This record gives sequence, C-alpha cells and structure tokens, in this order.
Amino acid sequence: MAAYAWIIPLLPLVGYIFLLLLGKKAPEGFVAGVSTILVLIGLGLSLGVFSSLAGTDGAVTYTWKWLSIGSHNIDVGFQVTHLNALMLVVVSLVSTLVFLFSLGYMHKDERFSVFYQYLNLFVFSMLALVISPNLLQMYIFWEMVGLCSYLLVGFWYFKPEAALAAKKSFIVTRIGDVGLFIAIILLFASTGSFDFNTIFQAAASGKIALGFISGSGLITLTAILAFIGAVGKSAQFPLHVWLPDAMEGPTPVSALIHAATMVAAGVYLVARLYPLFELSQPALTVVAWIGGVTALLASLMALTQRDIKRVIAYSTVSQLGYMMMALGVGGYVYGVFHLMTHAFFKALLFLAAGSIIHAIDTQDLFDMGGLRKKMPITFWTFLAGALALSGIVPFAGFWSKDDILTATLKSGHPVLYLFGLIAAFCTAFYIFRVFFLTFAGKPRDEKRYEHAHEGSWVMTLPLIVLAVLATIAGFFNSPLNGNALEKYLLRDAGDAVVAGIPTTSPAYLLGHTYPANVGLMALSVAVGLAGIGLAAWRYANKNREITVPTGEGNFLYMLSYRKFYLDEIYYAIVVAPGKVLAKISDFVDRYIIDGIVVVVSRLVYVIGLGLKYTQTGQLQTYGAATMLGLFVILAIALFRQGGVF
Amino acid sequence: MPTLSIPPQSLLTLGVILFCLGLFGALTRRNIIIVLVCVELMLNAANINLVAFSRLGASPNLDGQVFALFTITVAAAEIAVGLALLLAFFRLRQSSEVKDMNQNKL
Amino acid sequence: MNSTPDFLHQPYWYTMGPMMVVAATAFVVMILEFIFRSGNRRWLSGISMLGILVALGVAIRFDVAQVHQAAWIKPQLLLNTIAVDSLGTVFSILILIGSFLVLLFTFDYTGRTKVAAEHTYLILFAVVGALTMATAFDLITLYVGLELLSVSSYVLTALKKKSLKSVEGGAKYLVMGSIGSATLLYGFSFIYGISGTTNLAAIASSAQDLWATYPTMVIVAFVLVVAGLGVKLSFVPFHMWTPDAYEGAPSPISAFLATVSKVAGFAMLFRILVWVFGSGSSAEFYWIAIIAAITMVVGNLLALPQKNMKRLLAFSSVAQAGYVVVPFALFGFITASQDWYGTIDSVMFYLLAYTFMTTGAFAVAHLVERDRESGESDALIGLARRNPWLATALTIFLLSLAGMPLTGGFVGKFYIFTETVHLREVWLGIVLFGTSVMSFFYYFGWIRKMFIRDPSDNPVSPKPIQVAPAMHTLLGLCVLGTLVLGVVPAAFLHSLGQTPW
Repeated sequence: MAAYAWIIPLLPLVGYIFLLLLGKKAPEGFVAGVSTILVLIGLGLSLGVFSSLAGTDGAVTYTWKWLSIGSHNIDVGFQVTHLNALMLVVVSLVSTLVFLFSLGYMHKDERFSVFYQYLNLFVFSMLALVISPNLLQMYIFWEMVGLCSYLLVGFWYFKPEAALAAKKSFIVTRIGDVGLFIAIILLFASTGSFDFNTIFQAAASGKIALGFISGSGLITLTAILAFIGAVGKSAQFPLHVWLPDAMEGPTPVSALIHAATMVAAGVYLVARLYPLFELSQPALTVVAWIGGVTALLASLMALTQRDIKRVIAYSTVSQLGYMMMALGVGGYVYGVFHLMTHAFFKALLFLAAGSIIHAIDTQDLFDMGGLRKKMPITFWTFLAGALALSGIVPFAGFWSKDDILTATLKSGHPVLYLFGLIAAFCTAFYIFRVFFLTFAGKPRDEKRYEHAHEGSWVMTLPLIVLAVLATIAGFFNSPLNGNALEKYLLRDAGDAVVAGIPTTSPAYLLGHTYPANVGLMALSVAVGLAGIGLAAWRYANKNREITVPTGEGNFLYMLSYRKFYLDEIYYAIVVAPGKVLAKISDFVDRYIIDGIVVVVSRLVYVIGLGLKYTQTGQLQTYGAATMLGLFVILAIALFRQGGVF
Repeated sequence: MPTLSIPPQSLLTLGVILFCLGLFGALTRRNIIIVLVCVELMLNAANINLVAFSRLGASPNLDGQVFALFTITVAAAEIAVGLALLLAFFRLRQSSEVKDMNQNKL
Repeated sequence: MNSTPDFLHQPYWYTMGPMMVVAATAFVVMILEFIFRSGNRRWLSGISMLGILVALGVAIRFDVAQVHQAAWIKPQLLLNTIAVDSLGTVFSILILIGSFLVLLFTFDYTGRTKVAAEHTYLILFAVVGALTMATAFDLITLYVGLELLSVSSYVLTALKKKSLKSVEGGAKYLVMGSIGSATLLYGFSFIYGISGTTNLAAIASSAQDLWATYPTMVIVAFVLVVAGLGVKLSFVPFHMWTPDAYEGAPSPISAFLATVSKVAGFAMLFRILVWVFGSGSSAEFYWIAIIAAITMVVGNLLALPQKNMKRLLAFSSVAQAGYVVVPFALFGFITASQDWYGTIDSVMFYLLAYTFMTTGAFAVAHLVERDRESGESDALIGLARRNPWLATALTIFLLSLAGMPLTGGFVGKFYIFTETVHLREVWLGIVLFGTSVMSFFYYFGWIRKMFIRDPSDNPVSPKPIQVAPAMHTLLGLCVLGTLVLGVVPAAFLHSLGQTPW
C-alpha cells in the first residue's frame, strides 16, 4: 500500500491542472466537487497507507536517481515513515473538509475557481513535502507551500491589509528559510547527501565534519539553523508576528494553512529531523525554551484580542509552542500527537469562526452575542472545539496537552511546566471568552443578528465531522487503548536497527515516554476549569454589563491587547528612535536598500553600454583587440615563467 | 652531402618576424586584398616553423613537412573563399576598403 | 609512430561510420544539385536530414556498443589519426543532433527566402569538419577538420549574397577566423617542434619530460592554441566578430555557428588540453579559468543593453561559452581519476541542453523577425497574444538559458557549479551564478515584452504568425529537449554515467 503513496499528492495536482484548463468561468459546484472528490480519494489512500504500516518497522522508501554529480547522487522519490503516514492522514482529512466548507464560504466569489486552484496547489505541495525522502526535495516544497500561503493570504488583494499581510507573511517566513537553507547546504557539504537517512547515519556514527567545525558542533549548528526555519514557518517567538496578520486571508485558508497544516510544517520539520536534534542537547534546549516562551506569550496576547480570528491565531501560535516544547524536552510522541489533535480542533474552531463570520459578516467579538439560538450546530461544535483546546477531559486536547505537561515536568523542566500551566489557564480563559461573547447573552448588534443563519450542509457537515474528531481523537493515544499511537510512531525507531546504528546512540531513540500521571492530569483539568470559570464569571454573568473595553489606564490589559508591543518594538527598532534616525532609516530604505538594487543594475547596465561601444563594426579594431588580448596573456605568462627562452 | 648548419634560433626568429609582419599588415592595411595577403603571411610563418622543426627540431622527422603541405592547401582554399567574398562585397558596396565594412555594428 | 599501421585490418566502418555517412550524403546532395538545376530544391534538405539521421543512428549504435563493452576500452586508432573512443562518439552525437535541428531550420528558411541551394551540402561538409574535430587524434587532422568547418562556415555566413550585411558578416568572420587559424597553427608548430610528432597519443606519452625540458615553449604554444581556438569559440577578448557575423548570417546559419560549430570547437579544445597540456602544471589551467570568468562577465554585460535580437543571442552565446569552459578550467585541478567523469559529464550535458535552447531561441527570433520585419527585440511585444505557442516556447528557452529550475539550462549550470565546489574552485562557481543572475535581466526583458500588449495590435483578433509544420517540429523538439533534460536529467545523465571516458 505504501508503494502507492505517491498518488496521494498527485491527486490535488491533477485537480489543479484540471481547474487550470477549465478556466475561471467553471460552475462552482463542479469545481468544488471535483477537487473534494480527488482529495477524498487521497484521504482513502492515506488511511490505507497509514494502516498498512501498522505492523511494520522502519520506512518505505522509493527513490530514483535524478542527478548525479561526481560521486554524489541526488535522488527524487518518496518516503513513508510512520510519522509521514500520520501527517498524510491529517493533511488530507483537513483538506477534504476545508474543500467542502469553502464551497459554501466562497460562494459567489468572483474568483471562486482560482481559489480552488490555489488550494489544490497548496495541498499538493503540502502532501509532497510530507513524503519527501530528502532535504532538497523537502525544501522545494517548503518554499512552494510558502508561495501558496502568500497567494491565498493575499487572495483578496484589493484589500490593502490583505496585500500587506501577504507580503509580511512571505518575508518573515523567508528569514527563517535562510536558516534552513544554510543548514541544508552545511549538511550536504559535510555528508555529501540530502537524504534523511544518510544524514542521520552519518551524524549518529560521528562521520560528520566540515573543516574546523567539529562533529558535535556541526550537529548543533545545523540543528539550530534548521530550527530557525521551523521558527519562521511555525510562527514561533520572535518570528510569530506574521501569523495573526495572515488572518486577512479567507477563513477556510486560515483553517487549512494557518492552523492545521502549513504552520505545523515547522513542527514536522523538527520531528522529521529528530534523530539529528537528539544528538545535540543544546539544540533541544533551544527548541524547548523557544516553544515554552511562545506558548506563554501568545496565550497572554490572545486574552484581549477583539477580532475572533486573531484570538484563534494567537491560540495557534501558543499551541505550536506547546508542540515545540514537547519536542524540545524529549516528548517526541507527545509533540506529534498534539500536532494531530490540534489540527482537528483548531481547524474546527476556525471553520466555526468562518461560519459565524459568514453569517453576521463581522469579526469583532463585541458585535456578536446571543448566536446560540440562531446557529445551534455552530454553537455545539464550537463548544467541542473550545473544550478540546482547553484540555477538559475527555476531549482531544486533554490527552495530548496533558502528555506534554507531564513530559515537561518529568524530564526536569519545572519552569517550562509552570509556563505551560499558566498558558493552559489563559487558553481556557480566552477561548471561552470568545465562546461566551459570541453565543451567550443578548445580541449586541441587532441588525446583524437579524439575518444571521446557519450555513448549508456543506458548511455544517465539516463542522460536525471535526467536532466528533475533536471529541474522540484523544483516545488514539490514551492509556485506555494502551497508547496505540505512541507504539505506532515509535516504530520509526526501528530504522536504527535497519541502519545498523549502535543502540547506545541517542539518535533514533525518538525521545522518551512517560506514563500518565493522574495527579498531574487532575491539576491541569482543574486549571482549565478555573479558566473557563473565570471567563464565565466575566462574560456570561447576567449581572455584569459587557462593555467594549477601552483599556485606558490598565497597563496589563494594554500590554496584552497591544501584543506586548512587539509589533511596536519591531517598528521602533527600525524607524522610531528620534527623527534623525527616522530620516536615516528612510534614507537607508530609499537610497540604500532600494537603491543598491537600482544602482547596481544601472551600473552594470552602463558598463554593458560602454562595452557595447567597443563593437564598432571595424574589423581591424576587432583584430587589434583580439591580438592585444593574446599578447597580454602571453606577456604575463612568460613573465611568470621567468624570462624568454 | 655536406650539411649546412643553420642555428634553429634564426629560423624561428624569421618565423616570428613573418608572423608579426603579417599581423601588423592585417591590422593596419586599408585594402581587403592586402589584409588577406597579410593573413597568408601569418600562416606562412607557421609553415616556416613547421619546416624548420622538421629538420632541426628535437626529433627531426617528415611530419612537419607534411603538415606544411596540408596548411598550404587549406590556406589556398581559404584565400579563394576570401577573394570570392571580397568580390561579392565589392559588387554591393563598390569598395574594397576595410573601413567600409561597417553595416553590422554596436 | 609506435608501430607500423596495419592498413588492411582496421575497422574503418566501425571507426569512421558517422563521418563517412555524412560525407557520402554531402557528395550525393552535391551531385543531385548539379543535375537538378531549377525548381524548388528543398527536398535536398530532406535528403540531408535523412543522411544526418542515419549517421546519428550509427553513432548511437557505437555508443551503445561501447557502453556494453568492458568498463574501460582502449581507444581505437585509425591510421593513427582518427580515434574512436566514447568521447569522440558522444561529441559526434551532440554535433549530429545540432546539425539535424539546423537542417530542419534551413528547410523552413529556404521555403520563404531565396538562397543558393549550395548551402545544403556546404552545411554537410561543415558537419564532416566538425565530426573530424571531435574524433581526430592528430594535430594535422584536427587542423584540417577545423578548416573544413571554418571555410564552409565563412561561405554559409555570406549565403545571402545580395545582402550587404550577410556578405560583410562573412568577410569579417573570414578575416578574424583566418587570423585565429594562423595563431592556432603557429602554436601547433611549437608543439610539433618540441615533441617531434603530431600524434596526440605520442605527444601525451612523452609530454611530461618534454614539458619539463621546454617550459617556455609550452607556455607560448599553450597561449597561442587557446587564443586561436578562442577566436572560433568566441571567448572574450577574442569574441568581437561574433555579433557581426551572427547578425549578418541567415538565421539557421547563426544557429549553426552558435551550436554545432561551438560543440566541435569544444571537442577540439578538449582533445588538445587533455592530451597535449594535461600533464603540464595547473598554472596553465588558471588561464582557462581566468578566460572563463572574463567571458562570463563580459558576455553578459555586453548582452544587457543589446536591442537587436540576434546580436543579443550572439552575446548570450558568448556568455554561455564561458559557462561551458568552466569545467575545462577544472581539468587542471583534478587529482582523482573518477573526478574526470563528473567534469566531462557536465560539459556534455550542458552542451546538449545548450544546443536545444539556443537553436530554439534563434528559431523563434527568426519567425518574429520575419513577421514584423524588424530584428529589434521590440518586435516581440504582444507575441503572447499573436501566437501563444511561440511565446511559450521562447519563454522556456530563455528560462533555460537563464538557468531557471526544471529546465536543462538549470541542471547543466547546477552540475557545473557543484563540480567547481567539488574541485575547490568555488570562485568560478560564484562567478557563474553571479553572471547568470545578471543574465536574468535581459532574458526577462524579452519575456516581459512578449506578454505585454502591443498597442498597435487589434485587441480583438491580433494578427497571428504563420508557422510552417517544419518549424513546429523544430520548436517541439527543442522544447521537449529542454524540458526533458530539466525534469528528468537522469535520462541523459544515466547513459553518460555509463559511458567509459
């Protein structure tokens, strides 16, 4: 079955080409129908691949020689590890549902077909990224998903914020990509291969060195550089600033790309390179701390946002931070597990938010309220998602988040555990703040409330499916079923046996596992319930008037609302320190950054123009130039030789 | 047969002189015919060298003379084509000056 | 001479097959041309193409035969002047592919433009010269092959004898080419003088001692030979005739000069560098590296402000020659024998990709020039609307010339780049990539022009360009070649990798 994994990414590519040929005027139902059915077939195949790997160790790899350079071969192909198989299922499942949802959400958009083209292209790139057998191929698709994200965030390019956000998301993630690219080049230079397994084997057996950088130093360096790429893609602190702005894109895009799949690619990258990370404790520590700090900061920022999508966006950043933290403290399985559950419940929350936005055409929480009666399906499904996110037993988020917190504490990171616990409290608070502001109480904007309605079945069906998953997905890896997913994922470690890596090497160990601890479970549930309680007291209390907060004089509120002023700090670093500096930076911007490109190209052009006038058309000038060249070379050569004859 | 001993250096010098003479002519004369003749001089400089080496080289043998014969033949073909092109050029431009070849430039 | 050549028992057919087929075709076409003096004689081109295809089949059969033999076969010598080794065979295949494309191009060209019918067999004789350069193993034979190619090319350049530009281009090419030949020959005379033989194998076997005895002579010969061949291959600063000749020549002949003639030139440069100067010090190869760098930089700089399409392609071909010569510069730094494979592979690969993309670009430029009656690049404006297929094809060729991924040009450049990294001459690779970034400016200038709307065009139904079937075939082949080499380079690289050099 795994031998046919290559068909899975090919299906959306076929869809893309088909839609491209069909043109922009194709009927909506047909466009969405074809795309959805193709991805659905992909989902079926993914499930087949997933289950076919259940009883086996190691990866299934198929490669063909693409290019041979000297003694190096560069292959293309695909590789299905247990991790990849899980990712295939997650990506194609969420894609299928989002494809269906978009039929309702993007209804009557004049570029409907183009939207589906982009989506198809994205899903192709994402699936192809997942099954890449080597870093080069992965990097190509890594860039392609970034490009698709850029196209989709800026899909409504006539809105200036959308165009700006698209540019911002592209540029900020590009900063991270530079790190990843350098890491790839370093790994290639030191091991002579882009191939994952070859690199891991070289690293594990210590056959990795480059000039004066020692083996372990090189591993740490490349791991951290690759992690910078993951930081950009997964919107980790300090490169998280692009993700909330990317919410300018259509909501299904936010659900698919900026919650479930592309942003998780950073986490996936670290997980994919885990054998490398495991060889470097410093790199793991960096991953853990960046993840922990991100989880805490982003959850604090989410507390006060007024835009429903921005709250969920910060929540995404925070949850990605959890995953990174899990990977950093050695909880490989838990990070990946959380990636999966998060994909379900976060896609659910985004789609539910999309359903709300679609119904009342605003994103401001303080214009909502009382929607429970109008939109019962959205209400119940959102509740499932919110409970899952808050980590309330028995919803999906409970199991994965609790695993992460347990692993953090048991691996000896009490400070990070505290971060995680505070973040968990904030998480429960902010998501139920959204929940109560949206569904509870009286409508604050009657006019919008009047024509609010539930979407058609194409929009509600994905919500229901995801709600079911958000409820039960946690049981895939609970002590109740003997941690089945954990056993499944750890079979990737079987590669070590295949590759002949000494069992003493930490590579291929794929982290540590910790038994569930009822005490810690109870603690985190209690923290989550406390957050929900606080939110209910604050926002669902009939005695308390809900007013639009101004934040005047409330330092902490402003700190969170202004996202810890990080955007402003960035802004200040670039432009603000005094008018002089502003002018200088303006000058720099206009005449140096922009100017360098212009000046260099002009200069080159002028040199070319000057050289052009050497082509006088006069034969004897040509001959003279030719012979002058000859004699100059001859003279220098003879001079270096030392004397004539 | 008494051998006349000529130092190889003098023959090589003759070659250099011929080559430079031909080159100088090819680059300075205004008439295309003269230019072609000067190019022949450059080829003949090489021929002088070949023949000289054939007799006085590190390991003398006949290869050099054979080479020279080939060169002469090839040069004849080249000059024939050159003169034909010159004729075509003269018909179109009414000139045989090098500086009048100025249609293709910049 | 090592032994008395055995004239009777040498595998003539086996060794000279392609050359004999092409020469025989040339004579047949020449005689037919004498017999049928009037009427439409385009079918002569058809016969020529057939002959080239047969020769190609013969050459490929040799290659396959060589691949299936033992890992290393000794080059076979014919009369001690023609070597049949994989190197010659692969170069021959490249030359024959290029010639076929050029003949297809002339077939279309002569349908619209009246030129002397002699061009058909002149091209074939030039191809014989090129094949000789690829397989000859003796200085004399190499020289005669070079002159056969060159003299035919001079005439071909001046084929439009009523066009002043064409004749002038031919005359300039002739004078510069002859000066180059004289320089080359002068260099050869020194090689002969110190080694006492013209046979490459004999020179190679005694080279080490000789070069130690006469270092100065070697340097003089080296510079003269490189300069002489540099004129033919248009390395900077020996390139100045190139744009004038390309602009004046009929378009198919420009394509011929840019592809077949260059491939043959590189074959000859290869033979001489490796067999004659290979055992010298690597100091000599620094000169090749410097020439490569200067050629890449100046060629691209010259192309930047160029408005005329064919002149731009001429400068672009100068720059491309710079890219190809990079691996030649690396020969001096090779220590391990298996490194040879990669370097030679990269040369062959790039030359094949170059043949497809350059011929294709010249073909589209020619069609546009004929349609708009202007050779300026502004004639491209609105091409995407007038003929989307031509615009797509030209875009692919230009992207490949510029080195965009998924085209043959990219894989070739990437391959050469990795060789420079591998052999620790990274600066050459950096120059290569830097200058190809520069080339994006002018290639994308063309692409931009194709896709903007021509204000003078009728917006509803722009006047389409008529393209004959032969041209469609040519463009189709070139697009296919460029893309296949870019997407599945292994198709060609694999057989290269199997070829014992």
